[in-house]
Amino acid sequence: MGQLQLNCTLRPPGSGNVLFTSAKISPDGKHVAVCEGTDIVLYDTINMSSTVVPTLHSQPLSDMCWSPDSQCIATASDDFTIIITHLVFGELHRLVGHTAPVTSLKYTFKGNILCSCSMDESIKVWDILTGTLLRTLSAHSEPVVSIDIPPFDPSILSSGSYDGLIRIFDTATGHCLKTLTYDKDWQSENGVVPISQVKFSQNGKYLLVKSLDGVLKIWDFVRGKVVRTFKSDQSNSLRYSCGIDFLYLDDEASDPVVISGTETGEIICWDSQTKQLLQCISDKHAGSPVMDISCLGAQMCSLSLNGECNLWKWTE
Amino acid sequence: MSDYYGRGYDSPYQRYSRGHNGRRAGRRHGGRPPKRESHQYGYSRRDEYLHGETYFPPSSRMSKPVNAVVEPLRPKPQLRFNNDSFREKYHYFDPVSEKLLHRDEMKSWASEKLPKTGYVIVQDQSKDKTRAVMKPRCPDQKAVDPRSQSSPSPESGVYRKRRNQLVSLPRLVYDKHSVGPPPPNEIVVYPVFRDHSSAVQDIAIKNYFSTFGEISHFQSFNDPISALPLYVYVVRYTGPPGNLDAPFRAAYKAAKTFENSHYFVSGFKFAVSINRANYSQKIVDGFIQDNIKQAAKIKKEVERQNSQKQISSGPQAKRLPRDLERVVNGRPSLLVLKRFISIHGLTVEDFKIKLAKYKFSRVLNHSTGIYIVFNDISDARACMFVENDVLAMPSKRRRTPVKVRFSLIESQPSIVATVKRDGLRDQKKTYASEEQLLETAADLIIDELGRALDRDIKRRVIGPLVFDSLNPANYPAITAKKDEEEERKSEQRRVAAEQKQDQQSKSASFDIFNLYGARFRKKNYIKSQIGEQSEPEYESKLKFSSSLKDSGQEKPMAHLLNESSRSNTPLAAENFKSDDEQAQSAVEDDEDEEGFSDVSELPEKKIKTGSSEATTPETESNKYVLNSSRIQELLRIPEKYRPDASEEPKTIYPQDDFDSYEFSSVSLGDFQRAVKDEEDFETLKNILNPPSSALSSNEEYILHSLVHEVSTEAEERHKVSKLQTSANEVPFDESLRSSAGSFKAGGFKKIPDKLKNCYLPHRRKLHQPLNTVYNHQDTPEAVTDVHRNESEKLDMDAHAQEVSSSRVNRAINRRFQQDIEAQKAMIGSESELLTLNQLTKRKKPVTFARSAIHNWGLYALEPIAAKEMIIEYVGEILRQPVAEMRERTYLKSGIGSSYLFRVDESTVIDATKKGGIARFINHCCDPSCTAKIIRVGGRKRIVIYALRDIAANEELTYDYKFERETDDEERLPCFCGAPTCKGFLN
Repeated sequence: MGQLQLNCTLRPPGSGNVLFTSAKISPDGKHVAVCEGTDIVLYDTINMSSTVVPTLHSQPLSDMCWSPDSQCIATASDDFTIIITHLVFGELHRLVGHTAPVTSLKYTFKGNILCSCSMDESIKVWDILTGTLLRTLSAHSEPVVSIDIPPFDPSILSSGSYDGLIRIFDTATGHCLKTLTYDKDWQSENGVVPISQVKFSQNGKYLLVKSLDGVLKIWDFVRGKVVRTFKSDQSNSLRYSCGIDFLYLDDEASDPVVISGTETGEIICWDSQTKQLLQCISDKHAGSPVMDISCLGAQMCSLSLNGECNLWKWTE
Repeated sequence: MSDYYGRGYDSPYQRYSRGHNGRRAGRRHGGRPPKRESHQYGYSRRDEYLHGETYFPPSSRMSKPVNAVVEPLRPKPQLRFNNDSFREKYHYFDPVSEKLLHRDEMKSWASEKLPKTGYVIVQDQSKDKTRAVMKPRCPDQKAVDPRSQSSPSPESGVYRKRRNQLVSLPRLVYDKHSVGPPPPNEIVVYPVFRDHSSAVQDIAIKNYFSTFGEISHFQSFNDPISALPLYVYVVRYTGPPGNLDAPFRAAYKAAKTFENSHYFVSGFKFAVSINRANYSQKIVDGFIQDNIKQAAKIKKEVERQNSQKQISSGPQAKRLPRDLERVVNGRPSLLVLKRFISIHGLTVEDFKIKLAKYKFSRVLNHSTGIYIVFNDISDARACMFVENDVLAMPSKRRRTPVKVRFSLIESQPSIVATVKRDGLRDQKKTYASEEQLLETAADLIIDELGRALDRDIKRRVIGPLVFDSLNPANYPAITAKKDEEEERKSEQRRVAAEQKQDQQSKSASFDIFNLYGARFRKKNYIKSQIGEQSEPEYESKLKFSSSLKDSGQEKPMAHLLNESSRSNTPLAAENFKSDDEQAQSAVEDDEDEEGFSDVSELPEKKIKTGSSEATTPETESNKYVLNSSRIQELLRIPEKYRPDASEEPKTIYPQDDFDSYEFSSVSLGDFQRAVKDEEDFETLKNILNPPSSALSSNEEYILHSLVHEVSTEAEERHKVSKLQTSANEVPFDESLRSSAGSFKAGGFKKIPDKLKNCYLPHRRKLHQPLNTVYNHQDTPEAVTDVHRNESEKLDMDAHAQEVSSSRVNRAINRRFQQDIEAQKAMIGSESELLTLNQLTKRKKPVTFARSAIHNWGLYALEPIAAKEMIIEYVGEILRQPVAEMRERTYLKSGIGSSYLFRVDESTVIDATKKGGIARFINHCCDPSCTAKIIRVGGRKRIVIYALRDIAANEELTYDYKFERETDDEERLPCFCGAPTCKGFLN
């Protein structure tokens, strides 16, 4: 079994008090975009040059998302708005409607619909072409912190909220199809565990969920069953919603790898099939929480809160 | 058993035991009269039964003792009335002893008075009255038939019933063989009462009477004098040629029909009779005579009234009191005497109402009476004519309305005036000859001509001369002096104005001068233009007037001051000025009107101005005086920057409050907005002091772009903050922002419920549901409350129409249920499918949505009336211990919301995991619903009822009625937002 090898460090840890929350590899693999304050910093993965794309946000960004054609970046800001910035032409739309900081957003694979979730407990569905609000889904009772859409199936949408619920919505009707309670029988001693991250598998059948007790679960959301459970953090009550992602290898035979960042700056990899711990990288990120992990093919990009951004490559 | 009796237990036990043991117990029982002891068994049992005790027949299983001798199965016959009361009170035949009891005690009915043999009642006809008489019966006497006794007497053989009516003789029908005149075939129809108020059409009468037979002739009569219809008709009937009798019969029939009654048509009452012996002519003549009499009467009446009126308007007529003459002003009026008014307590209002249809101008209440004043004498006369002695007013004194008597007052002064004029006219009319007439005419013409000449000379010769002499242009020295004086005066006025402004307030600005100055100048300009256009003969005068105004133009502030403070200024100068001004304006007005008349006024005015100068105090105000050149200078300054007369200096532009900006950093755009004019720019340049020279073209470009960027950024910020506040209405709580970075960088933290209000709009809208799913196709921009409210309203309207009485619904449901029950009975088996829940049928349409009170709430989709059932609270039914256990686990697992509902001591309904929609109903201290526990089919169920009328889309709430928690930590805060909120649920 292979493991992650450091390709390069795109960005050394920053000294300032700017906190970094999101880094995403573009779908075409040429760029890595990192949120820095209200700006987006673009790193070229080939020649490692960087350009700053300013946005018109007045508050720092929580999350960003590449459009499927790698031309635009949508940014979720604390100023309650979402701005879609074209890398060449600048701002396309400013989506206004949330009444609290926007926490996360996700393009559908066709790139015509953008879904966003916010601290105002709602999920909003936007039409990108016109920049209008299509639908508001209010079904959580705490800030919604993470949403995801299966890579090739925009008909459903999953959301994770601090109220401990994972909900699956039908994007066409806006109805909640399924609610995955984190602890179905409420047997846990600590009560509700807030969800920090949700991530669909590539085939759209499983949902990787990370909660703030440091446990990763792979849900078969159709049956409503947990099929795999991983424990990434030692602590039971975490603060930051650290990044998770599936890493799919080029060869079909091998199983996808589950990668999770921890609050202590480690990056842990498991085999999703065997639950076997493949790798635990702790020499990078210097104890800063790994806020985002973004995989594309064998490439993986990790970003910690202090701004250190590393590009990794899975090697056999 | 025997032990009990030995101990003397009392009756209930005994009774019980006797019931069980039948005869044995009965025998053992003591205290019974020995006589009855000897009775047969059956009677004694019966006796007990009659006394209301439990009785088991001896044949019954229970009464049978174990070792009993077998008795005959059939019970003995029992005597029903063999009891004490019967035996003692009544004549009783004892069937046992077979003799009557009390035989000796009973009295016989026989007495001395009555015959022994009895008596009969017969009718006694001995006197003229028949009456019942009691006679002793004679059983020996044999009865005989009374008819056989009364043999028929010969004189009473012919008996005939007396007629009370005449025998109707057969009518001899008139036919061709008849001799003599034919019977009458005409009827006459004439009104019973003469009443001209309504009209009857002849054709209606004709049509009606044609129902009796064929009409050959129909005639209606008119009054030969007035040509008015008399409503008298003669109808002649005819018949088929062979039948000679038919017309008579028809006439008879018609007359017979209305013999005792009258024929009514459209309010008229007609009498119908056969036209015999020229009866119609008599009637017509009578009516004509009546009419003549009536007319004469009316004529007399009119004459009388006229004479009365003449009398009333004569010299004896009421005079208008002196003090009313001015008010009445020569108009005619009607007087109602004071005495009458005061007796009956009438008021002016009564007359106003009663006489509303007349065109009176006013109603005056005077010490002599009420005067109703008319503008026109004809109106007054009309009113007098119609209403005098006719108008009934409700009297306060009497029960019945009283007739009001008016008296007309034709006004005096006008009469006097006409008399005067009449006198003149009379004089003129009495010309002796044609010559005299011509003479007078010539005199008149000459007189007129002389007056015209006089006027012309004044206008054309004297006028210009005087004007020339008065033209100030001819006296430069005097005008110069006058100008000087004017200037000085204007300065004084200025000072006075300043003082006054100081006194009053600081609000007045310099603008006001400009305003009035401009207006005055404009007015003058227009006037002078008109002067140029007008005829040359008026030119000099107009020049004069314009020069006058020119002089006034130099002191616009004086005008202004007089305009603004015409009165109550303590300064003497001001008073003078105002006089001056008034005089001047008067002059101007006169000029406009007449032209010449002001000539004499001019010197007077001059004197006045002179005197004002003399008395004006100028000593103390000298130092504040601005000379005219300074004023001119000031006036040249653009209006905006002109100095203000107020005490405190004021900025021209509204103050820029940099501190109030929502962002601490100030962008270049802000500076751009801040710089308003050259001066500001200079100041800014001084402050910033930029390196002026050393900018290359490239650097300049960069600078420009930077400036642009910064300004756009600032604009964006403003825009965003505006958008935020517009979407959210309240500012976002800054404590919710993470200190260093974005929300995600801030990490997890629990958000207190109270702070959620600042970003959840639905939280702030009590009873406003937030639909979980919204479609935004209709609203391209962010969803606005306006839109939502509109759509809600539409929904509500739609629902409001649908609302039907729930009672009807319930009745329908009940019928439906009965049908199903009947079907069930036919099928004969209990089918699960057919079990119908009555409660689900009565359920109201409700939905759950995000609530302002707590996470979710239940909302009415339709208006719900008070006391209606809304929904049943459904859930798992638990026993008490299970519920307690569950409550603990729920609490432990962090399910803060409690969905446990107690039904009674031992039962709790838990809707936490399995339950109906009713579990979403929130608590409210001022609830709209209440939960009642009712029994349905032997089971207790919780049903939510509306307490009051609930509108569509209103959140449903009920009082949870939690027990008061003593521990403050345990208490649950209440966010219901009701005015009477207690703050806590428990």
